[in-house]
Amino acid sequence: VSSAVARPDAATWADVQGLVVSGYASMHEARLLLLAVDDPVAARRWIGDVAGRVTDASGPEARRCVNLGFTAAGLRALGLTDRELATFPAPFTEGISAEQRRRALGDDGPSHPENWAWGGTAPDAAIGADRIHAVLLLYARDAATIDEVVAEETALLAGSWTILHTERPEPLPGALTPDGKLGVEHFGFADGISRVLVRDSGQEDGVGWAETQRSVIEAGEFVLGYANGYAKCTPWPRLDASGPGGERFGVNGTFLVVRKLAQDVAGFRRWTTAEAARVERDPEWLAAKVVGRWRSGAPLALAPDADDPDLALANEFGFADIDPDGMRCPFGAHIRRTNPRDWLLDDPVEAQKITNLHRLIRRGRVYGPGLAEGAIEDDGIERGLLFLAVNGNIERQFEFVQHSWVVNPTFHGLAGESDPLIANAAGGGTFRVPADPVRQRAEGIPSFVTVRAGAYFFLPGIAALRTLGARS
Amino acid sequence: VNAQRGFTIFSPIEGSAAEADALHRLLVELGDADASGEGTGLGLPAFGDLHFASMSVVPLSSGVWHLVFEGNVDGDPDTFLRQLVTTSAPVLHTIYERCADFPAPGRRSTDAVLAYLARHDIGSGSFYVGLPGFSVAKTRQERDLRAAIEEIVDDPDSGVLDGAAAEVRAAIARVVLDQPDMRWAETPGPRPFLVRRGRVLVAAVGALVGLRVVRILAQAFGRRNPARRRARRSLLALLGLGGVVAALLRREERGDDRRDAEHPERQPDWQAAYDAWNTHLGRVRALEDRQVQNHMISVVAIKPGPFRAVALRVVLSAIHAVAILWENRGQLGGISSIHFARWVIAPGGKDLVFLSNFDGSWESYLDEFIDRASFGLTAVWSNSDDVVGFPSTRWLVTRGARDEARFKAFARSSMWPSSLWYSAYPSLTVANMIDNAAIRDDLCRTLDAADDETWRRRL
Repeated sequence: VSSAVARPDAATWADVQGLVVSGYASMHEARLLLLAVDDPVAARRWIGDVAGRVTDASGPEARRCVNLGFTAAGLRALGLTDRELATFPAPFTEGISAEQRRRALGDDGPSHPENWAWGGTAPDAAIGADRIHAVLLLYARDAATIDEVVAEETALLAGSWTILHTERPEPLPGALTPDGKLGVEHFGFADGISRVLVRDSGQEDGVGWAETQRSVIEAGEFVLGYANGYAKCTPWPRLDASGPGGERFGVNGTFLVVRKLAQDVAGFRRWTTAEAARVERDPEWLAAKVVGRWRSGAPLALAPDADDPDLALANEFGFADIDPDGMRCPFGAHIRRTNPRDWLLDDPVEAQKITNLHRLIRRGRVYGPGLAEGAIEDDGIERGLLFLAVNGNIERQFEFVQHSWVVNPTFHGLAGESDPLIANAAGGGTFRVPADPVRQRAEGIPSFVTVRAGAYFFLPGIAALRTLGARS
Repeated sequence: VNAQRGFTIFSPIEGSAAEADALHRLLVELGDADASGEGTGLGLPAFGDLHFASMSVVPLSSGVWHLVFEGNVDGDPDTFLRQLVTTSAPVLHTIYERCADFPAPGRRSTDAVLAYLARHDIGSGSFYVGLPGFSVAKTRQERDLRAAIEEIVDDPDSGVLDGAAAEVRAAIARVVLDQPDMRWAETPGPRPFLVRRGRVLVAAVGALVGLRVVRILAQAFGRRNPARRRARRSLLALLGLGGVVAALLRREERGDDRRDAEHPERQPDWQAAYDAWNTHLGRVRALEDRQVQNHMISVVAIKPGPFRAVALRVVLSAIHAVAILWENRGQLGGISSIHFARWVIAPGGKDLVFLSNFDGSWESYLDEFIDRASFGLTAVWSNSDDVVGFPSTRWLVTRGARDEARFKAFARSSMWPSSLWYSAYPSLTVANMIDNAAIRDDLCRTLDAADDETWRRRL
């Protein structure tokens, strides 16, 4: 099965769910409906029906978009056998909150799954990991349309599924950089600059050579059934039925990681101000060192001394040549950990290839209103990022990035520090900032980001949805 | 300096899987006791010469379960074992009384127990030491020196940053050496002879062999050379031998591919075998990722027949030689995350056992293997088999481990829980240790401006 290596074609993209190739930027409103199976027979019938409405990856965007994913508990509730579930990869069947996965992901303290709003492990949790069976992702151009879509879909779900919970990200465009080109996340930084382009999807057309090396990733890294970064197929899940619906069930499917990350914006402002004063620097300088970019998005690797909005969209850079010592962008900075580019090995070309075996397609959206400008006390309203990431191999992509790069206290020769922005579950973190004559060390970093919920979902191809729907 | 050495003690267990599982659970408990300092464990943290130790319970292809006790120590393993038997006899007895032919109660004198352990110790096989010369004491000292220097730099009252950049190192050195218990930091750490000269030796021997080959070639193709016939005969014999080995190798590999296609358990493919195995993995993974470092033990069956038996031993010897002479500075074929690793052929000669103490997650470790050292790995493991089967190879070293998903499934399927595992410096990576040593070595040296800057950037 895994030795036959194909390349995607038009038929592929007509079967793959649209979220793989698009964040639906023109769809200003989004809702995530967490579902539980009420009646398996009716639920399967609904799946067969919704398959006709699920947005694929081939066409121009419609007025509304629908995508659908399942947890392992959901597939079991829909009637998959143990033998069939065993063909799914372990991270998916165990789930994001399983003990050894939680430990590797660094979800501890307030971020421990015992404290999650949904998808967690507390025995008395209303929406525990086993309760969530599916996620229905709905997108529409404006508020009126999304209400319409949600009402229609809710009516269709009645009797077969229960809606456990609805996530409501903030409408786009939300906060924007002054030039209006990029969205701004709650800490105040332009986001979504570095990107992944999927090979053979058309996204890579007309992209220059250097950017191709950096950002064009094999389709098999995100869509099961095609050549991945090793020119092999990542194994895909199978059903026992014969024919394409059985043996090729997982082809054109992918995995979606969902994590609800609450951000302590007031805490971030307070700490950067106080700590910058202690090390006799400007708070903006410290904040930029933590992130690896200035607020405009300009990367420290290209704009080491001050923000430069002309470089806001800059993604065409590596670290190996211009910043091998981290004098511009510290090794531990958020963007250098999450995307080390060409720098982890002596040979930058090889290093970029290694990095590209661990890429994610990010589809997250901001939730909660922004904190008032300049406020340094929390207003009691939860806000953060609804992190969504598409990947074909959860272990080698999402979990690797999180464990080996973000949380790892010894990332690339560092000692005793994790990602200063998103990985200080225990608080009291440190952060090494290379400088002359010797490094400065920021201290007492509190936990700015708390994991509030999460789950792994399988997003089948549309034909596979029909197969599921037709099972009895 | 006492070189780091290893022991691997294979003790057959009386009883079946149930007894093996009971021993596994006992070992987990004892390991937790040592780690938390609560309850009675083996007392491993008290040993100043022990780097890493592990105990696991694994089945060999004979069907007999074995307790595998792996240790990596400074100096003679017997010295360590004698101390261990002396200080931790009761706990050691509760472990080993489950093993066949362990001395009966009343006959467990220190010497009797030591003799038992020695009888079952098969040594360290094909052994890789990440950083030869880095004793436990040196590693911990340099870790503490680094911490002390970081503190001095962070202390505004220390005044070490008041002067010019070029003065900083000397200023730090003055503060450090002011403390009587830090005087050792004034001199660089020891470097074993083979770390300094191993590569030169290899180059010299290589040059001699190269000259000899050139000479034979010159004789064979030189006009009217008196030794021409003899040289040509040697060359032909060599080529012939190479051809026969190559033909045998390809015959083996084609046979493996055929068996892979026909093997009934592997229908429809290897994934089914791995899926069935996956549930067992939970026990292995439950003990992983509890700190920066990890441990793995893998047991695979050596493929039958004399060719594989010989090929495996040749490859293991070659890796052992490379590890001693060339790869002795913290990297093995580009993998920079291994503290101690070994391949040993288990008693009975049918099983190949791999033991490793490494930095980071298993996933990242295997990725390093696949991305940087797939040749060496394929050359060893392609001579072996487990429920998944090693991926198809060409010419012993190509393909194989590059088949990422199947190779990881093969490796995972061969693993057993590291029931008890101890590390003397759990928060340090190999990279950290190299940095710490360089900080110490260059603290008081005369350096040019560029090297001085490199030193400061290591902090």
